[in-house]
Amino acid sequence: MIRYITRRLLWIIPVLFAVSVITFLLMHAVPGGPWAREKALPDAVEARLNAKYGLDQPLYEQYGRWAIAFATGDLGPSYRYQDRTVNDIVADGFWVTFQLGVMAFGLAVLVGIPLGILAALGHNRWPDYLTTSISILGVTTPSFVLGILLIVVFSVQLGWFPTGGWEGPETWVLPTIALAGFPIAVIARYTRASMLEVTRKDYIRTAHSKGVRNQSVVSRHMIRNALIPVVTILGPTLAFLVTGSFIIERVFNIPGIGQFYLNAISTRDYSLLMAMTMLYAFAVAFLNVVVDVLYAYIDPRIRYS
Amino acid sequence: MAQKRLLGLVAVVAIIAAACGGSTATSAPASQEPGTSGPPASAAAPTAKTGDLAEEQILNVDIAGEPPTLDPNKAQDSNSLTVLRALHRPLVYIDPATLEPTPALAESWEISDDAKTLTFTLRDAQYSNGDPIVAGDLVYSWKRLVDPRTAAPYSYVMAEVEGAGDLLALAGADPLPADAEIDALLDTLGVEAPDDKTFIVHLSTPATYFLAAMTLWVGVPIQESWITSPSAFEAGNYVSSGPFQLQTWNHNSEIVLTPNPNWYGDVKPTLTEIHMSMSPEPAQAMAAYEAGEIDMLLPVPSEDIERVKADPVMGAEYTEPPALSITYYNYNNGLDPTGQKTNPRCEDPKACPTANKEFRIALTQAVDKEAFKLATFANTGIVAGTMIMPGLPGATPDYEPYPYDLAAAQEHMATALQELGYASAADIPPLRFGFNTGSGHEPRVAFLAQAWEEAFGLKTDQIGSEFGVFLTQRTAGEYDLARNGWGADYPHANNQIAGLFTCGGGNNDQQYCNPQVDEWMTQAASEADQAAQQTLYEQVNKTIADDAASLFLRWGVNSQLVRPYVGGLQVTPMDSQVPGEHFYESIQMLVRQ
Amino acid sequence: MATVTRPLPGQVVRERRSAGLWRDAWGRLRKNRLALVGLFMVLLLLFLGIFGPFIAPYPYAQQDLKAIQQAAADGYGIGPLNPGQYGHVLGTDQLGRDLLSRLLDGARISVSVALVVQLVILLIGVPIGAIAGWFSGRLDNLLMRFTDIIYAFPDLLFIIILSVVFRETAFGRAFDGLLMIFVAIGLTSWVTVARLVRGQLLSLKETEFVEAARAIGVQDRKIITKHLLPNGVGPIIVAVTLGIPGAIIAESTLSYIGIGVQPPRASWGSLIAEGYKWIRAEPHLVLFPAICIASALASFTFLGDGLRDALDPKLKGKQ
Repeated sequence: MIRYITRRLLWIIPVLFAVSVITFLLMHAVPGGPWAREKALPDAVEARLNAKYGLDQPLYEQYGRWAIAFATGDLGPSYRYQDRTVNDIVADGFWVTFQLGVMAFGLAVLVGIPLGILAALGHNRWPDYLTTSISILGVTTPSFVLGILLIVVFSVQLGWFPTGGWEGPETWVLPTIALAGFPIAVIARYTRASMLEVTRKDYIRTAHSKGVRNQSVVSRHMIRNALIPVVTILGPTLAFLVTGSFIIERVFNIPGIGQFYLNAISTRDYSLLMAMTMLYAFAVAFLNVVVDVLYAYIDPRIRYS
Repeated sequence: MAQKRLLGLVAVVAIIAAACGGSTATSAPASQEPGTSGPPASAAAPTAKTGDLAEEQILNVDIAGEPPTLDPNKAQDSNSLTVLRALHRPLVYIDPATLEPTPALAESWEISDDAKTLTFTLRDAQYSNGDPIVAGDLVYSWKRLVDPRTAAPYSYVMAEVEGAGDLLALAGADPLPADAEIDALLDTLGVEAPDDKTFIVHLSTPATYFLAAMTLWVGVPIQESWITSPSAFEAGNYVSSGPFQLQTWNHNSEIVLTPNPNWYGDVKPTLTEIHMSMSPEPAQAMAAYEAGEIDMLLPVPSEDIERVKADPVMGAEYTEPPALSITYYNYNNGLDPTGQKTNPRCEDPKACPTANKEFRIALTQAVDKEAFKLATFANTGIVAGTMIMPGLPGATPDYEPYPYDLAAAQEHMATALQELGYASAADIPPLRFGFNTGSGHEPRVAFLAQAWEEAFGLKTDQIGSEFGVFLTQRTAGEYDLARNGWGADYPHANNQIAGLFTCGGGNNDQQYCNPQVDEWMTQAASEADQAAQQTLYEQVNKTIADDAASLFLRWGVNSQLVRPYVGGLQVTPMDSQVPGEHFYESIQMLVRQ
Repeated sequence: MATVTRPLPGQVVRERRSAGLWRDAWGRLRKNRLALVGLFMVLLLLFLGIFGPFIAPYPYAQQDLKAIQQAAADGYGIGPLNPGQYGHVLGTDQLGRDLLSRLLDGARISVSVALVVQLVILLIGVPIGAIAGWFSGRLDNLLMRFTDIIYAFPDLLFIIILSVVFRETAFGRAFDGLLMIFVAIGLTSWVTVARLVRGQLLSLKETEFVEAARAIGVQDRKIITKHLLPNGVGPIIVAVTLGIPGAIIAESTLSYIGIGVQPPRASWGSLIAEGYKWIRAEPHLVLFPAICIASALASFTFLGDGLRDALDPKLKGKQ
């Protein structure tokens, strides 16, 4: 297993390499550049800025310089926030985003999985319908709408929480709920579906027929075996949550890094975009390793060569 | 979750475009003009009695996002300017009522008879760190501004200074000449400090608007030892010359300003702290105002204006002072004498109908601007017939050569079709109508497209693009029609025309060129006589409208909310994110009723 | 790569079982009221998708500016009309464009996007996941690292480039630009399904009945398509149904970037995207499109759940 894990972790490097090359090429192929403004910069100034940041050089050279710097931990200058480095920007916001992501993930798992189990146990009865309705609401309510609704009700009308910011536990509540809304719905649906898959497996029926008490069948066999699809979903969900949600951070004015991913695309802040993409790629690749390892733990029959 | 990410993008693309648009200083200014009725807040301003002052003098405002930089030489977007206006003060500043230059760091100045030499006498003044502000710091700051190694976006405002032309052109050189060569050129720049209190500027050509341009944030005094130090722009290191200093800067979160103890101005700040939050989402900023977390809001999201007006409390706190901004739409005039932006399509007149003046007139007369304003701007703003905003010299607020008149429009269209060689407007291939998505432009574009289709049967291809793509294509002249807008940098007619409607100008995306306009602009620049200068700008303004160079639609206003307990506001039409942002020092917190 | 020829769950099962079993399934589905509601709603959606534009009270782009001006004059305030005002059942946007008509016209776009994109996702995701899960080892590793890459690279950039390169070509204009949408969303969204299928197969292929099937010499392909996929169909149905609102909203993002349907046409997603700023002042502009999307999701969820139950003989008598 250790060998397998080591090998899989090493595989993250080529994945990151491929993502970086693709992103780099796409990024430079998109029209517009970091200096595009509604009020156009003088041509000479734009040329000067391009020369200053090496953007006038051949792409392979630019990539080479970026890759070497990246390998040494230098994420480069931000083109939009010119007095700051990307390292500063990421260091400032990462833990805020991470904290929010982990809290939302925890909430989503703690609510989503029990909801799904409840639905499966009450299959085609009211608990099932209730869960399904909640899920449909959760998936179709755009996070912007959910966020604003929470703000209007709990901040403007009731005055219980601040409308935004990240200055203490009272500012954490609303964004965590808003961010968890979608994953709760998704996790509940997957849990329900795979629980139902498991119900019809022979060994569960065997256990039932052998007279094993209902509760222990549920806990010992069903849940465990139902976890594979859920765990599959959880990996990328966590990767998404801890690297930040653009909308939630924006709506709640949270100083995380989630906003930067899309802002960087929009403002063509190349080095910031590369950093954000690498971070997300690493999170996805790493958590997929975790997921695969968990598979083997959940279902010991799964063996990796 | 791949889809979840895409899902997020919906709002995002939208929002971002809006953010970009705004932060390029396009969304401009608001104002208090002579003659126009002012907001109650401003009326309350000078009359606020000390007895009414609240015990706690803390102002909470929102600046819509992290300032990209607090380097005065390099800043260009409204987030940064909103902060910089509290931290620095240039040589001359604007009078909120007349928009004329007024003394600031310079207590007086003289302009030579040939209008080419400006001599400023500085006040006794200190930076926030206690060091004296000397004329040499201005020389340093201005040289830094035009230095190609700085690559400052607003370096062009120095273009008329002696020797600046060579330096500005040098920026485009690749590779850059050796440092020594640049330094030698910088030494020839027409700025000098014969003593600590005297600052002299030599212009290579008379420029009547130069004094107005000096009210910009870019030419403030800068201490070399400060700006070259590491982390110069972080709180604690920041050296300011204005009424406030940078107390804390939690990036992406909050800026706190406190009074600069060494502030030299006559009006000393009453406020003890200004808290600036950075809400990128207008709906959240709106909620923060309603929840009492911020005391002022500018601009109020246009979707919320009706709701705000109908609200018993906020309705009384809402005002719409004028702003120096305009919404207009480009017609592709297809003219470009410089050859830099030639649009190959326009070599065949049939393929480029907007190059035909009669055609442009017809389109203009088919648009009901009042209805446009009502439906797509919540009826805010002033219907525009020309480029220069009311309140500026050269403005002709009532001039509208082509008012809404469908019959006249049909006549012009008939002439145009004959000249272009089309039997009917429906035969013209769909016009390419470009706009950037997500900033609320879609209904405006749909309005215009429908007006033209109903009037003439003319078809358009509405091309919505991501902001960067849109800008690239608009500059390249790929659209027949394109969304556009402008906000004044400094209150002078020159800033509304030069580069925008002069032949081959950097922002002349409508590819308009009328040599007569260029000539008048040059004349106006050296016309010392105010009245004569104004006449020239008026001619320019009317001629551009007569040529139907663009479709001028609406001059902006600053839709703003101010709590009644904020006193002492001096709003200007240049404000963009905080009402009264040019004069934070006069703001006072009054006792809440 | 064409190992799996019939990845649609319904079809897979239909092939596997005898006509009698299929009839049993239909019999069970008929008894499931919720599933029937779902089926009815799906048919209704399809009907709206095809005939929506013909039953709309107004052309989707027609602006009723007179009504907007009238409403302002009558003291209803400036801006979008509320539901029921001036002959507009669901109200209008700020230009007086009838919301009901725009929703009906948008049904065609949104429903077809929802369905076709899910099909594309299945066609790519299921084979890749099945191959990776079945063969495991090196092939699995390569395929899964490929999905990692697809997960992580910024699809927005890819889509912007598609829009710039293809907008004015025949490909970009095919089916009103919908073809590009199918391709753009499909190509970037199949990864979840692939990983789900793989996870299921990794576990299922170790079960006794697979060993038995192998022992008697059944082909890999048959084992996968006829035994393993049907056994793991639940989570796939969930992925497909949950993907529907995602695809509808993703479509609107794409039309923002300039791919696919262009204004003044609107889809449900783009109505939300344009309407969200009005959420406090004119909530109907968000509410009604959101209800449409929610009903689409609900109908497919009910039908999908019912279908799964109906196809599962072991659940017989448990309902």
